[in-house]
Amino acid sequence: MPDAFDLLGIEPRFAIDAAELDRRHRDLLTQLHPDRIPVPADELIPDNAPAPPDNPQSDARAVLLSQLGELNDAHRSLLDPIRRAEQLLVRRGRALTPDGDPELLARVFEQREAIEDATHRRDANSLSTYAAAARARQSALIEELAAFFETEQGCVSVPQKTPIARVLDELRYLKKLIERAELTLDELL
Amino acid sequence: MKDSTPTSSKNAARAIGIDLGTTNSVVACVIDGRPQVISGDEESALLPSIVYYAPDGRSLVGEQAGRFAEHNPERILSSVKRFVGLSADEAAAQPLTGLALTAVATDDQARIAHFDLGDRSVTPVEASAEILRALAERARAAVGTVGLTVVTVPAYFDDAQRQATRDAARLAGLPQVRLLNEPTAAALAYGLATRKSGLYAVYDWGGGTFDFSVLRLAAGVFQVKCTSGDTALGGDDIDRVLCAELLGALGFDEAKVDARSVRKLLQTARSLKHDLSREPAVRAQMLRADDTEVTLEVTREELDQLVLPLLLRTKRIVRRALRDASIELKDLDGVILVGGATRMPCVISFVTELFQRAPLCDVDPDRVVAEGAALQADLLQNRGKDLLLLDVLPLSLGIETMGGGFERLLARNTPVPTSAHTVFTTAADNQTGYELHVLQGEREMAKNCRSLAKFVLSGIPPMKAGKARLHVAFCIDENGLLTVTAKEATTGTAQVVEVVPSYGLEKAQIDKMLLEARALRDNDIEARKLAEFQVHGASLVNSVSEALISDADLLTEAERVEIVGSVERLRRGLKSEKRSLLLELLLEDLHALTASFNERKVNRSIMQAVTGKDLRERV
Repeated sequence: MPDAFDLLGIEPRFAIDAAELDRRHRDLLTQLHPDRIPVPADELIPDNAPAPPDNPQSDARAVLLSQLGELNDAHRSLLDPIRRAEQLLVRRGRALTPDGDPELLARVFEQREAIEDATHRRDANSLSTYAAAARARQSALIEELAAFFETEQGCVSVPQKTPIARVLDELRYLKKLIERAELTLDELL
Repeated sequence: MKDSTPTSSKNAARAIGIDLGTTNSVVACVIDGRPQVISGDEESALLPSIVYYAPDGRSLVGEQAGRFAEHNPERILSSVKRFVGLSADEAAAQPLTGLALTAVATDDQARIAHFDLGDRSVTPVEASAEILRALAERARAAVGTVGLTVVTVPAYFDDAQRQATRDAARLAGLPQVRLLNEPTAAALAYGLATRKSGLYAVYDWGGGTFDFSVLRLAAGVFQVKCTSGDTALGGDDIDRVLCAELLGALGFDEAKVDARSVRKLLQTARSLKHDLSREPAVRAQMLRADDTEVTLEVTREELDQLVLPLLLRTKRIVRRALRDASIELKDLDGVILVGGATRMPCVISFVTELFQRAPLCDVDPDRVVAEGAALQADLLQNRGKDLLLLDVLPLSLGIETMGGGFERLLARNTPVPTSAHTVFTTAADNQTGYELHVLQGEREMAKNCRSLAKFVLSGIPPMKAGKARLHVAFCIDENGLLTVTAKEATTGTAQVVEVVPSYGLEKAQIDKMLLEARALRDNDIEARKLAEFQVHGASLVNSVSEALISDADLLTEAERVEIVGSVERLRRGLKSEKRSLLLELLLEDLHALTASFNERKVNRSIMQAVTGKDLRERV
């Protein structure tokens, strides 16, 4: 089965050009869009006819919509550094199990408590600070990922500072933490 | 029912675009490659979204409908768009609408709001259909047969609100309908008119809704990058906060005040708001709760203070949308203002500060949406290959999981059309049915998201628990509308999917309404009334014209001019007017204007009669 890189025709690297990714996605959407390929959606409703039955969908249309769905999911997955890394690892035949480092878990738990606390106090300043710190950490980890994939070009295992599974774990936690903080900040700011 | 004659008959029909607004609606079409707003005869381009229902079932839309407000305020519906796709409970929770709602008796009724007109109730779908019908009529009078129709909706409308709008279009008898998001329509019109390209934000604050979208305009493709909004935040809300202020100042209790007073004050608030866009302070005469008169002054600063909380709400929406799409303010090439509320000075200065640049003011915020809709209709009908619109899903869509969680299947801002698939299995041996609860929203728990429908799958072939593979596909079409299909994969059996919508009308109800509407049209009430008023009108024109000559001395010059004008309007109406309610209004006008003239005439003839009798007695 083709993965997201294949679907979008993007070179399978961690360092991708986001503008190029968007362009490929847009070009493919444009080619497949039902407004370009006439596939009937809502048929003509004459004035004297009752409302048509629901789902007047042809098979061709169902196939088209499912292709568009896959394309959209592929695009979204490549924009996300975590899902991009996961797919690269799969391509390289490396299955990863979550690291589950207890020290990391404890740290994340602490941060989550702090954010919950600030949410209850409706303290926008603290939340902004936490979100900014989490983002900085996120950027650093993404750079680590990039370095890992650069040095590991050609599937040669290179010893690295942090196990890659742990980096991905922490990125997943950070993503949730940032989302949580931003949700409250949306209401407060 | 596919159109089998793609060339000749289809080319004769003209594609139109409709901006179905909360306060005003507009219809436009493309003529010689340019979008043109279609005005009604002697009317402005904007058709007020007001519907009047006469007790005999006739109805009238627009400016003239508003004229019944004085005598029959309870038979007038306005701002119905705020209620489209809402349940009876949600509708009842709307503050200060001035509209009466019918109490809910059955579950069917609870799924949709009903307005109480005294002798009957009307749903927002039916009232919207009346407005669409009036606009289509306007278009037909101007350009002939109407073809593909693009109807705009707020970008942030959820599936229930979109379905309701499509139902209204169906009820209005529009032959082929496509929904388009309002800010996208505006950007299309702006982009084509100015031939600009780049990243543009659309800040669209209309009568009832706020939308914010960012689009990339490029040769050949206009792509929506992100959208966000609030479907219950509009210019109407400014009227409402001002109205609440006025109620307080006049000594009313907001919880107890009657619908009629609210209507009146909402109207006052609206005109104060409009005047304050031009003047720094405005005065108006109002009635206190105890019926004494008072003159109140409202300054622009006071209004700005009331509007500020609403503006801050728009700021949050803007912030979230930009963050979703990882767009920074400096990436934007311009901000386009759309919607009547963006005419207010405080909105313009707020937007300027928020985006750190002056917004683009080279479009008419009231017309640009209809123009964009007309352009898209024209592109679609003529299969224009030179430009494609790519829009997105405004709200995440997913299903309720065990324990009341919300599992996202399609994320917000995903380009549409699109689809998502998921696989379920049976929990019990020989289970033949499966129920899916589909919701829309951004929260973690299902109860905090908006329920769209329950999809009941049936006809699963009997097999052991956990054996069945139910492939369920969630498809969003070009209108942003959801359909669900299901198939059992191990046997390849397509499942029957029964939709139980959480809101709105079921297909059978719409079919019934269509039949009723047709029956009403075929019924000769309208024809009879029209004939009746034509006879009345003709005799009134004659008698008044005669009196204008025989009793000219009883009138001042000003009165005479007014009556002559009214006679002329009625004479013209008798020639061309096909709407009986409008003819009725013209008749009433002339009656009202000549009331005191008639009195004077009667007095004179009595005097003459008395004098005559006296003479005879003397003889």
